[in-house]
Amino acid sequence: MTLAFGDGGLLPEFVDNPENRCPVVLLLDTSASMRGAPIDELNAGVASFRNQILMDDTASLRVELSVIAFGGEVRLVRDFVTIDDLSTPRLEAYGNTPMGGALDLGLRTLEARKRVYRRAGVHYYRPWLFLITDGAPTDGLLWQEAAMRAQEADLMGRLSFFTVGVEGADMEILGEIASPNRPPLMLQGLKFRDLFQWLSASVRRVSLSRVDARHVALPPVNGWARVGV
Amino acid sequence: MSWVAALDFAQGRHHRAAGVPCQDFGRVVHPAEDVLLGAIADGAGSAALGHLGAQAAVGAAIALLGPRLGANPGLRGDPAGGPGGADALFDGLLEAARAAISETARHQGRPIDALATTLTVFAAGPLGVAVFQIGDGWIVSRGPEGDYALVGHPQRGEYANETVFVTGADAEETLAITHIAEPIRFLCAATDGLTHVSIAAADDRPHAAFFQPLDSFIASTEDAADAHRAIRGFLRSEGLRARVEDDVTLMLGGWHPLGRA
Repeated sequence: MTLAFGDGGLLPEFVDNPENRCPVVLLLDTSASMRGAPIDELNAGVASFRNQILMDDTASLRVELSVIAFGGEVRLVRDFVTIDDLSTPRLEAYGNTPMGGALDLGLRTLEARKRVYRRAGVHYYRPWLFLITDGAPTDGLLWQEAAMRAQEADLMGRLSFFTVGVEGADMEILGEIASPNRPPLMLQGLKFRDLFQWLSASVRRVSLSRVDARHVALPPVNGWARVGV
Repeated sequence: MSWVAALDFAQGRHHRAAGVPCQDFGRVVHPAEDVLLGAIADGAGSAALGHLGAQAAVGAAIALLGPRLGANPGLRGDPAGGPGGADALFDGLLEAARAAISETARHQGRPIDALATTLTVFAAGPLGVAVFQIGDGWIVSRGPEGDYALVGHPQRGEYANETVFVTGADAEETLAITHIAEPIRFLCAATDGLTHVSIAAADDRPHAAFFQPLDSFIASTEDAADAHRAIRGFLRSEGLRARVEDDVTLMLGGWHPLGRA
């Protein structure tokens, strides 16, 4: 029997708080070198990420995804929406690799989103910034300043900044972009789907349980990343 | 005149599904006439042995403060109403909790961080309550007149799933001690699992329609065993489980000015 408090059917009424949110920004390289199988696999990976989150009722209300593509230009493909509102974007590959501008836009998008949360009294989890590239920045030295901000934010615990290189990526520059806490990972072949499954599992883990800020235990990456790069 | 109080805790559905033990723990005792002492703790989800940390911290709090309040129940119905106030009452508690956790960690052959836990401790009389707080557990009280109010504030970080722990290097700086020297009629203590359904996120205000039924119930219940059964039922009820995935702890205390029947 479900016991009510008191015999008069007095049941505690739950306050109608908004769900906590977990903001995730994907910075995706869609330059010309991604044409063909890589862009197809990347699209399939993003779609599988959405499906994985959708399978979890709580996570689908909490995870908010923003997609920024950089190929020829920097485009905000999707501003933050919860996963259930997100139609899967179809990314096309063209142009050069304005990675610095994308990183800058990603950071600004996150800060703007946090302001929206704070105004609305919504609690939020530590944001995720996830950069995937198969090249090197072609927009001058813009990336250096943006990378510094991202690294600082990661080191200060204001976001979790991950970088992933795809075959052909300049891992040396990616190493300079990445946070010292989290060296860049190299994707095995075109295992984008495995990468996004890992990302959805990690984001779900963070958005469903309470953790010590400094000890987020994420699943192993050896299903999709080359170890020892 | 007397307190009627009871406490229970329950494993959340995510921990049950994952085979993780309930990481909440709590106890409530009567160390002296008219004094209620309670401790609740929430082991960190990220710590392998958070449940052992929570048990050790609560055990240390009751072991230290029970005899202390037994020997000196305070003045004028307020456990912290003596020389030194709440600081004197809770003196040495953080160290005792950390020592107990370290001891358990040593037995388990694990670092102290593996037993990370929050700790919220209160000592209440009819005319005052003092709260020791590390982390995001909370206490709501109500006097003979007036609204439900948080005693102190749950210590949450900027991010929704992050808080501070007794085992943290910064525990001493984050420790908050609050003392209210006013008549108390109702006390509710809980771990973070219940925050989302009972406290408005926008302004940290207790939701009166959540607390009123609990308050009326404990005010009209004369037997702690009945209170315990009711809390147990509520924490395991379908309605609550549908809304709360985390482990939960709930303590209710009611001051009965006319005493038990």
